[in-house]
This record gives sequence, C-alpha cells and structure tokens, in this order.
Amino acid sequence: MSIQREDADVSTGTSGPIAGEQTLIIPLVPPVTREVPGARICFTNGGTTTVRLAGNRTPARVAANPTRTRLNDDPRIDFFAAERSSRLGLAGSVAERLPMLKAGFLGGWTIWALAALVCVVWLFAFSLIRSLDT
Amino acid sequence: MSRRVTAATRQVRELPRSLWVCAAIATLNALCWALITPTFWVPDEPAHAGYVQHVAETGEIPSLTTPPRLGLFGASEEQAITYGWLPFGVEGQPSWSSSVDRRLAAKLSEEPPLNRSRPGQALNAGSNPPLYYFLESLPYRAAYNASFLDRLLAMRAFSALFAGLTVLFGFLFLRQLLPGRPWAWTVGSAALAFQPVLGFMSGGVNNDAMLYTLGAALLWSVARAFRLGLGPRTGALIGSVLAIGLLTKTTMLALVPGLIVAVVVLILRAAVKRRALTGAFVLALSAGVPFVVWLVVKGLATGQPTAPAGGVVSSSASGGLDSLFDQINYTWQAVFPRLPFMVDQIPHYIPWDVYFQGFVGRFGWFQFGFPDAWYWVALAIFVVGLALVIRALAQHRDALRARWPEALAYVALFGGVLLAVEVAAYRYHLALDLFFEQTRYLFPVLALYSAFVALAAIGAGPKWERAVGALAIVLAMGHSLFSQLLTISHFYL
Repeated sequence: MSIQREDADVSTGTSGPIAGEQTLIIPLVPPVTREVPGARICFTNGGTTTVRLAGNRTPARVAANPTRTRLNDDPRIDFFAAERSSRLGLAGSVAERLPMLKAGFLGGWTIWALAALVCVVWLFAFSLIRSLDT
Repeated sequence: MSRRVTAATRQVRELPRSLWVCAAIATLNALCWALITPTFWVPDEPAHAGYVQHVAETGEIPSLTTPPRLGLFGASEEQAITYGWLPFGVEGQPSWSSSVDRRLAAKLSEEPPLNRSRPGQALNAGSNPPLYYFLESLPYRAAYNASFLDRLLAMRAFSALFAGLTVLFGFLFLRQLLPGRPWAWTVGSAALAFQPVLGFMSGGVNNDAMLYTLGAALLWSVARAFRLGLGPRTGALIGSVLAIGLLTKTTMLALVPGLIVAVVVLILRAAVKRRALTGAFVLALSAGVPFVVWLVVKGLATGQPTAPAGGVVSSSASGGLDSLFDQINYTWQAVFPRLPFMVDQIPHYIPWDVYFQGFVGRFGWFQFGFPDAWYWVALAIFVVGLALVIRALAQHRDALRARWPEALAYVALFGGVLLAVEVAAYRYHLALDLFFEQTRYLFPVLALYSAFVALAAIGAGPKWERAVGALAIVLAMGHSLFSQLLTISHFYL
C-alpha cells in the first residue's frame, strides 16, 4: 500500500499474508505525521490469490446493529495513530476534534465549556445529597 | 378561571426545590451529550433531522409516496452532503480531519444555497406522527440563517429539554408513589437524571426523547389516579397525556394494555362507579379523538396509512407476522431461557446482552459500550439493589397488600412495552434477518427505574436509608461521567 501525493510516495507499507476474515492493519513507513491533502492511496496485491475486500460491522449506513451482525460489504480505510500515547497526552487532540463537523461557532473552547457544564451538574448533585439530611 | 390559574401557580410554587434541581441536572447532562456525540451518531438522527427540516421548511408532513420526478426524492442536499462527509469508521472510530471539517463547512454555506427540503427526506422516520418535529422546527427556524450543522445543534439543545421534563414527571410519579418520603423522591429522580442512555438519546434529534417524557407523564397521571380515584379530571389528564404521546410516536400504544389494566382496577375499586366510568369515558375520548384525527389528516395529506403494526415501536420494524407459534417462541426466548422443545431463534440472551448491557450503556448506533467486566460489576450492584427492593417490599408488605392492584398496573405497563418491542423484533427479524431489540425502546417506562432506586434506598432501613440514597446518587453520577468519558474516548482518541 502506498500513500502518494502528486505521484510521489509519502509513505508505504506492506502486509503479511492474512487468513480468513480480519481487519487488515498495515504499518506505514515513515508514519504520516500530518494531514496530506489530495492524497491518493494505492493498493497492489503481491500475492497469488485474489484479494477480496469485504465486510463492515459499522451500523450507521442502515440502522442500529445491536448484535453486530455482518452487514453489506463496504470496504474502507481508517488511519490509526503510529504510537500509543497516554490518554491525558491526547487531550489536545480531543479538544481539537470535539467541535469538528458540528456547529460552526464551536471551537477549541468547547471541551472547557463541557467540563464547566459537568462541574455545574455535579454541584447541583452535591446540593441534592446535602438536602437528604433535612 | 383566574382562581384556577392562581391555584395552579400556587401548586407549582409549592413543588420542592429538588424537583427543579433534578430536572436541571437532566437537561444540562443531555446538553453535554449533545456536544459530545458526533453529528448523526445518535440512532436514526439523519432521518429525524430530515423530518424536522421538511416540516420547518415547508410546513408539511413529509411524504412516503413515490416521487413525482425521479431524483427529487429522499434526503435534502444539506442532509445528504452532511451524511456523506461524516467519518464513519469500520470499528466506529471516525477519522478526523480539519481540512474535511473546513471543506464541509464551506460546502454547506456555498452559493447558490443547497436544497433544504424534498419529499421523503424523513427516510425511515416518515411514518411517525408529527408533534415532536413541529416542536423541533422552533429551534430550527430560530437558527434559520445559520448553517445546517448550527441548526442541528439548536435542535439537539431543544431536545435536551425533554430529558429535564422526563425527570420532572419521574419526580412527580415518585411523589404519588411514595408519599411522605421526600428524600426518596430526590434519590430516585437524581438517579434518573444521570441515566446515561436517557441523556445520550435526549441529546440528539430523535422523537424518543419526547416519548420518554410522555411515558413518565403517563406513569405520573396513573399514579395520581390511584391516589385521587378515577374521575373526569384524572381521566382527562391521563387521556391528554396519552393523546400527546400518540401524536409523538405510536410506541405510546404499547402502554395501552397496561393502562387498560389500571383503568379496570380503578373502576372496580371506585366507591362511586358512575364517576369512575365517566372518567374512563373521558379518558378514551380525550386520547382517541386527537389520534383518529391525526390518522385521517395523515391519510389525506400523504395518502399513506400510519406505520404498520410493527411501527408501534419503530417504523423500521414492518415485516409480516409469519407464524403465531414462531412469534410466541421468539418472544419467550427473548425474555426467558429457551425450553427444550423450542427452536433456537436467538443466538444470544437478550435480557443480558441487549437490555441490561444497553441500560448500563451502549452508545452510538447501539454499538459500543463498556468492557465486559464493567457489566458484571453493574450486575452485582443491580443484584444488591434488587435485594434491597425486595426487603423494602417485605418490610412494607401491609402497604403493598393494600396497593397490589396499583403495583399490578405498573407491571402491566412494563410488560406491555416489552411485549410490543418483542412483537416488532420478531417481524424485523423475519424481514431483515437482523435483531431489532434496543434498550431505548423500553424507556417509555423509564420512570420505574427511579422507583427501583428509591425503593432500594428505603430497603436499607431507617438508619441507613439516606446514606444508601446518597451512595446511589454518587454511583449514578459516576455512571454518567464514565459513560461520557467512554464516548469521548471512543470517538475522539
């Protein structure tokens, strides 16, 4: 697999043989550390048998899928972080992603507004607990 | 008239402060969910938002009939473009991209403006009654000149109010159920306010949010009738709540069998039978007339009947009833362990895998939840709570003996909803070979959860009951917070 921009490889990766149905995870070298606008993703089957891209347990295209039944084939690609970071270390990413594809006036401050809302809710709840004695 | 208004105002002022605090908690909590959950990641949100958009843009009910011209039927351009650009991942984790975010924002605000309404844009929600959608068109119109995503957040924020109303009616229900124990009303209602699936669903655009409110209101009005007796006024209240519910979602019909049990019991217990019968007549009239009018209007406006029987729970569940025996077989297996002579229709145990785990928390399109160990911890807490409830009922068995018909009515209300879900589930399973059950379909009787928590606290006995009540609130707070953190980590890490 290669990720190309303007016909030049940005990153490439190779998968070992896989058996049966599983999610194919391909490590990319070098890891892609920033967004690559207009990227093209190329696959080459280096094996001897035909590769069949299949499967999607994501329910969002039709309806909820409580029992995770396999739905219609719908190949797709997801990008995962190259290294594991601590959850706290990813707080900046969360703050950046939380307002994405939501209302336009939301921004990096949304996560702080959310934290403030949760604090207010908890203050209310503690006032209820105190009131149980009266 | 003014005397009645004054009396009503005084009654509202006399309501305890904790009622308003619990309602505020539920509303703010749902608002948090509205901010946390990515766009269209609340079940069926694209369809419900489409219904609202159609109503708000045209003032008409969306049609389900064949389009007049090919290509002009289905999702509006705004709806379809938003849906198409959302990052739905294989395992549910979206791939976030700031450039996609910018490009979608630009696309939604480009000139000439994108199409906002098309017949059929309500998709699978199109067979629902319109009340929720007309109400949701208020925030939509208020943010009319803003982008589609802004309008969607306005709709979500408005929907969050229903979580507050659900808890408000849950509080009033407990007030009727457990008179003389104000602290228990607070404990049960606070637990309800922090119920994460209630917050999650109410923080999205889905008529279930309003349905839960009306389910809680119905339980309150029934409990009130058991206190005051069935008469024209109590009957009118129950009937009005039922009518509003039926104009919100036909799932309200699932409460009718239990309601019939309640009404029969109320008539049999009434000292003045004629008054109770008049009350039942007023109830039937006030519930039935608006619903029949809606069915006629809908038939005239869209040329379509209302949702088929399966649509009592969801407009998606519309398969035919193939075999009564298979239906009974399926329903039995959905609730109880399979008997030796039964064909295995369900490869999992629905009360545990779906209802219990879904109640503890499964989010997105009923798709991701806590690690398995957490559900076992929750089960342990539930078992302790159940033991305390049984103890409370045993300790107050004289009261229970006197009020068993009322208890029977609540069991019948719960059973009616469960049965309706399973009938719909069987049809859905037949038609699509998929399983249908989700915990949220049981939420019209969610106020019973607040009664469960309140009774569990009472079961701890006079010395410990308030401490256990405080512990229950703290547990509910943690339950809510961890559910929100789970959702954040699922979608944004």
